[in-house]
Amino acid sequence: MKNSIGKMLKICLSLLLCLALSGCWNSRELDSLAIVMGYAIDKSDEEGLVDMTAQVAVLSDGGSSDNSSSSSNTASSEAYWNITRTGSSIFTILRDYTHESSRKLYSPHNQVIIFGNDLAKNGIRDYLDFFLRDHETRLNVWILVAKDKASDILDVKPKLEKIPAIGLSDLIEDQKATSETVQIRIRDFLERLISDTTASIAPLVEVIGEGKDQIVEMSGTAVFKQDKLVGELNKTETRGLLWVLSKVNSGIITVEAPGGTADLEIVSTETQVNVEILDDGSITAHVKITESGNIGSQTGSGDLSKTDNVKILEQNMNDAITAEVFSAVEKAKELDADIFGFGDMFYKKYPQQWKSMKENWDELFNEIKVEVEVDAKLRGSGRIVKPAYPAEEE
Amino acid sequence: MATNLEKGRISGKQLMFIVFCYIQGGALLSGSIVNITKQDTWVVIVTGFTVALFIAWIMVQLAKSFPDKTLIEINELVFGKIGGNIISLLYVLYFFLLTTLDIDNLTSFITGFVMPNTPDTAIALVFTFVCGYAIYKGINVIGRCSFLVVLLTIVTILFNSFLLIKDMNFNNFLPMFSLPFMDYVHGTHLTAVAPFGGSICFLMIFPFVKEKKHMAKYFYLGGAIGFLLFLFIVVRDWAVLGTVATYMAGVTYQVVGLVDVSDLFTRLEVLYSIILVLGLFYTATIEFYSLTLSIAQVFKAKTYKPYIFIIGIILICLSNIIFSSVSEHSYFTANIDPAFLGFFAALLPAITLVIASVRGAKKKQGSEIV
Repeated sequence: MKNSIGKMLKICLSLLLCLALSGCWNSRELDSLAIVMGYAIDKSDEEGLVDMTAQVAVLSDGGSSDNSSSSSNTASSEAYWNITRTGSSIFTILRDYTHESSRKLYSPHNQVIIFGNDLAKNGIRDYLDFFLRDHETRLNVWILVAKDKASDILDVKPKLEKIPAIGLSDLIEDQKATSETVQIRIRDFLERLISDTTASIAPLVEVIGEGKDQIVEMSGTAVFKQDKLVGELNKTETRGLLWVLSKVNSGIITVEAPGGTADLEIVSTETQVNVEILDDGSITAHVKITESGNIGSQTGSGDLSKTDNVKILEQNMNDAITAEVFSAVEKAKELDADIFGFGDMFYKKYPQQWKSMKENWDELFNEIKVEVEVDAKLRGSGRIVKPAYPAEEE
Repeated sequence: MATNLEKGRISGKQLMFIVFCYIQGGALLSGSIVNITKQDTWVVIVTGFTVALFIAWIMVQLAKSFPDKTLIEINELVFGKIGGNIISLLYVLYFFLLTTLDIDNLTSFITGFVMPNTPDTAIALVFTFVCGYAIYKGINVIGRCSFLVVLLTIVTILFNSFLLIKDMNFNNFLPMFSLPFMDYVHGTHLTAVAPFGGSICFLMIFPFVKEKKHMAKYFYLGGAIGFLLFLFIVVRDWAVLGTVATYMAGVTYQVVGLVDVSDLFTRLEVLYSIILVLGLFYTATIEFYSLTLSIAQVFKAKTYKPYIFIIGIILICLSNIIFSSVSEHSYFTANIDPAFLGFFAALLPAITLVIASVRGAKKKQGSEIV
């Protein structure tokens, strides 16, 4: 008898444990969350303040309402809500949102952080701190810089997605196909921000078009000196930079071919950078790029399956890639920003000499001699071996 | 006799698992070492392990000289009744410090990363209760659970690491050996004593190991596997994060959070939280157990069980007041703690061993009876 009472007690105790499943002080239920998909941060009109726009996903009232008679009502409502408030720091603004939003903002699903051009020129370090420090934010958020105002970017409704921030995040993922835009997560940005010499970079976005036809376009790379925006790279220069960083995934290079032009698709690449201090004290960076690609399309009648022609194409490819790299190097020197991270490579290879080099790296970077060696290979020509012209008489 | 206090016994393999779990608990929070030795942390872990091996050797020698005796009984035999008791009380205080630090480690992890608004006491209470429950059930239960923890820890770490391979960059380890020499000494000291500093606790557990013959082998093996995994984690973290790691609180937590395999495997840090809590549970339980048993033996009690409750309450209070901030805690772990650990974990056992062997030699000549 005594045993069974004990058993009952134990069962009751175990059942009581279920009460703990609801969580503790920090439990938050889905219906009390405002899930933030993106933040846009701009310089405010007032001195020293910032405007921050949070894009909150509006969760529909469940699938049932869509089927009922009120479907016309739900169709007109947006899938997102942009809240803008002004304040002195990110965290104060974030809490300030509670004056407008009936739910507290929830950041772990945040996709993008966009900085406005004006703010970026004044430095963004102070505004990144919160996103690195808070326990809810994550280290794999995309960082973007708007060509104009950041909040405008979040206002443009994407054609394929319901929420602008998600459209933007998918857009960034898509950039692998051309490799003409850098992809920077907050963690990559931090890595460059804490480096002594390496300049930070972030993709640029801009709004194109008017009214209902507005779209968001990725347009090159923003270059930071420390945390201040100093200039930008266009698409070609960006790919030149990505070649050096060994981050080219794919892309199309159009070169001259016998009898016309050919579009060559980049399939796989690998880059090795070797920095050296020569005996006379000058410094060099040797960039060795190995690339293999396919013929994607061609114009003109040249038979590109012939080995001679393949050689010509490969040579043209080499020249094209070399030109892209040099365009990036020239631009970087012009901006005086070490976007390639050559400084860190010198530190890793020559830790002793680096101590003295660090002081005047800005001048040294301008003197650095970049040598580019490209080994481009053409692997295939696709499903046809020659263009659709009548066979020539040999 | 210790054997009256604790009826349970563990096998040699279980000892190995316990040692492994014990090291994991300390090793999973490797931030303070990474901050000091940066890209060369792997070097100090290797050198630190060598030093830790020497400390482990001292423990084993003590255990071999006094089979079936706990640390407290050894103290009494070596230093006499009064001297032995004084040193034993010092050890009791040291165990208090160790256990408190680990409870605080856990609460600051939970409140820092998972539940920031929850009061520390609430977490410390639940955690200490579970540790106390394990101790109440005895060493046998602690030994049997260890295998599960080992399995979970190893599988989770390997799984996470596999998914992180694409994020690793081994250039991060350059330049090698370019830090000031003293940083290496500091780092070595810290690795030698921090994950292994409480290993003196095992002198309270050795008497309950069934296979006396192979005990030393299992003890070394558990330590070696623990350190190997520790090295693996530190190398992985640095390969993924590089210098960024020195800016992070909870490096491993952040690294695991970076796992993102086509949006399918994401937010894996929850797995890491689980093994961290399990690891810390083992570390704290071993220390708590040694503490309870020491107190029971110093006061010549017949059973240690009533003490668990009282000590548990004291530990919760201590963990609440010991540090006022996280920065104070990390400063203590990096700069003050190693001094304590060095004294209690290495110096005092070494002195004990020397005196014991001198006296043991005399005893054999029959000139003195200990």
